[in-house]
Amino acid sequence: MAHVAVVDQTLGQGQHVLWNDRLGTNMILPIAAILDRVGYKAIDRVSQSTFSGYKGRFDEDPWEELRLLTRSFRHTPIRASVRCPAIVENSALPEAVMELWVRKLCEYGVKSFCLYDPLHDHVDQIVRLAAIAARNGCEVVTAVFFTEDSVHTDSLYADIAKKLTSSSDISGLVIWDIAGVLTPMRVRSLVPAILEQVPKNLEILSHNVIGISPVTYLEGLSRSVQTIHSCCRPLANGSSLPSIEVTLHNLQLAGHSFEIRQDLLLQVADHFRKIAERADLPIGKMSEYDLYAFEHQLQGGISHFLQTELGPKRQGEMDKVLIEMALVRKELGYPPMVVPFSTMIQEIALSNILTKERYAQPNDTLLRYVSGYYGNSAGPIDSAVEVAIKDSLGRKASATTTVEPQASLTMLRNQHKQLSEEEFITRCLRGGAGSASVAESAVGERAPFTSSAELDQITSIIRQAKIRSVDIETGEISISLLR
Amino acid sequence: MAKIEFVDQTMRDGQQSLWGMRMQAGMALPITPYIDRAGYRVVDLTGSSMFEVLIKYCREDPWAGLDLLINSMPNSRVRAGMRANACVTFAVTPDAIMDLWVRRLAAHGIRSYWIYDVLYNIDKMHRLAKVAKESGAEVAAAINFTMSPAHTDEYFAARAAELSASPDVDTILIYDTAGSLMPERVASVVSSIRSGANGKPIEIHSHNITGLSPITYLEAVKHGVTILHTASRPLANGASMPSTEIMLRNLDLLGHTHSLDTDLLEVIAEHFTRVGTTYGFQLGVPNEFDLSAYEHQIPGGMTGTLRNQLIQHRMADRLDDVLNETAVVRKELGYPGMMTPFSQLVGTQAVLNIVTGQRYSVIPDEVIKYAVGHYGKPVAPIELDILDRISTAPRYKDIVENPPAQPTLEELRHEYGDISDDELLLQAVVPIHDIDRMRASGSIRLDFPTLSSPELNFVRELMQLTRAKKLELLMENASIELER
Repeated sequence: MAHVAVVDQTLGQGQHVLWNDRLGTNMILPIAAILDRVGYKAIDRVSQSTFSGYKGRFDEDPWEELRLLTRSFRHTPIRASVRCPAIVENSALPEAVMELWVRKLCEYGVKSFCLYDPLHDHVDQIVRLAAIAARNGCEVVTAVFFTEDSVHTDSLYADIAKKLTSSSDISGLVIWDIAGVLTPMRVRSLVPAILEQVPKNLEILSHNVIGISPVTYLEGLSRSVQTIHSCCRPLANGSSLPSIEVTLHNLQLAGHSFEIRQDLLLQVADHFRKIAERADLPIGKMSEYDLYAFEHQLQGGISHFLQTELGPKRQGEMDKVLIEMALVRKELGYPPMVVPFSTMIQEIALSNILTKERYAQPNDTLLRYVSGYYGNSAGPIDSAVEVAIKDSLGRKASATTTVEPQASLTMLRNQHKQLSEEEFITRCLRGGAGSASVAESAVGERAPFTSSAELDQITSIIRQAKIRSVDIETGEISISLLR
Repeated sequence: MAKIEFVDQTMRDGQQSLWGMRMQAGMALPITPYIDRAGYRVVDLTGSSMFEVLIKYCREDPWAGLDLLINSMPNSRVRAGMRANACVTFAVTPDAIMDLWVRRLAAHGIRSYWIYDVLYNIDKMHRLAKVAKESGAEVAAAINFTMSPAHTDEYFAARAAELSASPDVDTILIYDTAGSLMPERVASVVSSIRSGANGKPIEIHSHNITGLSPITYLEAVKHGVTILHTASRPLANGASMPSTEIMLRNLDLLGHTHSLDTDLLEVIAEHFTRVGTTYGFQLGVPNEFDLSAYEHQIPGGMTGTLRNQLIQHRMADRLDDVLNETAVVRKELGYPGMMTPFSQLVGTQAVLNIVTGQRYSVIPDEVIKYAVGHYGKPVAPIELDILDRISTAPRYKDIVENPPAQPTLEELRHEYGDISDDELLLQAVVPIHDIDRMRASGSIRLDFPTLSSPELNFVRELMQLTRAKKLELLMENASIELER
């Protein structure tokens, strides 16, 4: 039986996929001290999206958030999941910026890093960034992205895992199942295959898209996986991860051990349920077991992008587009369905179906992808498709696909001398859209709700009452307000 | 690739698992003509427990409701279900009454039966199948899947062989009450049941308690099952079966065929969603995967019953102990399948053991009856020290000396007096004063208006509550004025 560690993704993947990064600093702070005492191995929070984030959060300073959170997280390391290189508006961020970012994150108190590339290609960069983090005393893990297709065999994953974890600075590997299609059956062969090549700590992060992730976790743990990722219930399930509540319950029944304060979890769930209610954000829901997940392998099942693009009148074509997506993904050598590839594949599939002529309008991301700008694809790109795209490429300015020589930090900083390092990084991660607003950054420290209905009433009375003295008596309390 | 057929459980086990059997005929009638044309192999509709609930709690005449529903589905084969040796009661019902049930249901138009008995009194199951055949009805004989050292693949194969030996049995039904048939166990269970089934088609019925039943179904189809039990989405999942919708999607992807009209399924789902929302019934949602389903194998609704029993004893915090005790009692009593009456019998003994603090210090009559063989032969032997304990119970002697009576139909008719057979059956399942109250509430209610939005429900409540002459209601998208 395993002694199991849990990485919390409530503030990371959970809110990313269910709330579209709308979880603000002020919504975390009231519960931060409790989260710190639950006993997680790490709390994942920092990522490119918490820095660039949802438009409405541009007025929040991610550095200030980090300062406030690390003040509360005294016992639990805060984890940053960093894509190497970060992709901003379809372009790779220069490595010099990545280095500065990682260094600064360490300085601000990040204690754990997951450094990853969904194409499993930028190993050198991952190793260099890992060295920086390790020098600063951080735990560093990397990740393989699980997808189900003919090229991603157990032995390919074992090779990738070996290549990615060769550095002694990297202590573990996350098997990241973005589409929730890692079946318990596959775990039985995949996990031993990886462990044979990589005698390091294995973690599983599985999005519970079709409801099987809890079974996948149990199967992994019985095969020497030591760490699993979960979210508190209101931010769990559906496109998010299994709930910590059901996970711990199952671990107990299966005879595994862990050191988690289950008594605190009720408060945590309560807090986020209230946030959801007040901010009108959705609660995670279980989905039915749907084999379509294996076809499109989209994180979170049916795509909102496609739903919007098709509009209410053409929803009937959704199935056709999903099937086309599966074909396009195959033709492009099975990239994992993460940004920007997921968007790229959805756009191509949509235009292939709607214009009836396949690959007639390749976009910049696709041109960059086939030219190897983002790294090598896992499988070969279909030759006929490549010809069609290259034809179109000839007509386009080749500038789009050229990998620019890596600029030094001094060169880059020269253009933004007036900015602090922190602002410089934030601006790089936000791209054009966010550059103007960093200066006014601030963090609202107060949560958008009070802890009880009575307090709500009092708040509104304080605002409205014009008289000098107000007495309130409810069931258990009496309050006098005097001005 | 296989042609897959469906048994619709929306109005039977779907609502039994999620709506506590409170679906009245009038709630279904607007949509049954659509169900009739959707292309199901069989539409499951009723059973004696539903009669009981309709009379006691809905005050609706179940025969009248049944006639309306069956008449509204002239193209469908409508199913009723029964335990082989009892209806409603946890005791044993005379054979003559069971036979009368089958004949009267047939007279009202039932043309399909599923028959179960987790102790497999095969002679009784075959006798009922034969009676069913008098009206040309189809019979599904159930094998209850449950996990125990006694319930081996060989055990299931032997039961399938015994059941299918009768020419009156048409299909074998794998019945997974607790949702504990894991996808990886399916291959061996289905293969062994098929080996005993004499070429008869296999049906599967699995409560989606773990969320894995759709996988169980797909595995079952892979190994030769061709008939699936599903429910319309609002009455599927959770304690109910997988939804028809998700199974069609998955079967399509695997290249299997079916003859359901998917356009009609949407209309049907919409109707029941509206009924559920209007009348405050729970709509089914998939559960998170929970290993306890395999530990206790307690049927969906029963955990709630156990909790209520504990609350009565002010021991609500002991639920986990009771669940564990249930597993122990089940083992001691020879692993009866956890279906009526044994789920209740085992659960009640477990509650008593915990509440009294002294195991088997109080033993209900049903446990004694079970131990002395009134229900049939246990699957595995009852543990000897437990048998000893039972044989020293104060009620033991009396129960042994009074085995269940087997009156003839003539004797029964004489006993019940000058009433119709339909009335006799009602009186056999519920106390007469409940029937009187049901009759007093007037004729069957046909009109169950559904509301198109929760706001309208709110308006309805206001209309009932308010005494003012005029009401103005402002909501985000609507303003309403009510005047009297």
